[in-house]
Amino acid sequence: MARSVKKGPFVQEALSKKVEALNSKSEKRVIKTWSRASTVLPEFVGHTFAVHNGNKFIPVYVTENMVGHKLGEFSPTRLFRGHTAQKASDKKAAAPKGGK
Amino acid sequence: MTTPAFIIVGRVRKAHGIRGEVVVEAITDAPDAVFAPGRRVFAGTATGDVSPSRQELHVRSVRPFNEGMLVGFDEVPERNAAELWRGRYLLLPADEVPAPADDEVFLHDLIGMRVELIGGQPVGTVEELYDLPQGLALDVRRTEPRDAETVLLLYDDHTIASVDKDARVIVVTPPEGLLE
Repeated sequence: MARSVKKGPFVQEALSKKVEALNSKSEKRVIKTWSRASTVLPEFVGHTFAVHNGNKFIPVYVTENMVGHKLGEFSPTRLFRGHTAQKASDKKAAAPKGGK
Repeated sequence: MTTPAFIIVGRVRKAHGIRGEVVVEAITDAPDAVFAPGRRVFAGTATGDVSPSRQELHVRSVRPFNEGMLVGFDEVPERNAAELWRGRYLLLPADEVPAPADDEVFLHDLIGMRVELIGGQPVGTVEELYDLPQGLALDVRRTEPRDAETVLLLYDDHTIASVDKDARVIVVTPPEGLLE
């Protein structure tokens, strides 16, 4: 069942305060959170959250198309380790160029 | 990591139909070339090693199927034979697989690479790779005295500054606060 519109989206209060504090200082820092149920608000865009998946913190860089989703959607609780973990496979990754 | 003699290019999920076709999950960036009719692959074990007999499988037919492909091999003529291949890997000799371009790296080569910050301060060693919704992530085992911890770093332009394949070093620029 959908959440009542009059309540607005759920965001953990401590989390939204941290984002507000960073936004007011125009700072970018990783925000660690266990609040997987918090909704991504437009104010979160551009911030990186470390969202706990029950085992470790998964870094989530928030972009505009994530708004309205829950943080937990981007931090899977079951991690796919790939095929036979240490075996060589014909899969390549382009080496990113740059950094920040 | 030394280059292995054989490289995994696919895995048989299950048998399909009565003509000996199998559903193959391609584990290669060029599945159309590797599984083209007439090509051959080497049979592997269920753990990803090449089979001791070095049995060759010649591709008879191939067609797309449910995010994988249906492949018929000359050596697998009917359903009962195909059933025996469930869960087994298919491999190619490493020298038959196109080498990565200058700006590319094999995923398995990333494991064991040293991770450093731009200033040269060590972060740790890549222990695992994860396929996350936001892309590839490196699970990095921290250096001492925090070697009981691991930290996940996204393999993207924001985080990775450079990858030196020869020196086996990844230089990272993690977002502030991630390594605390």
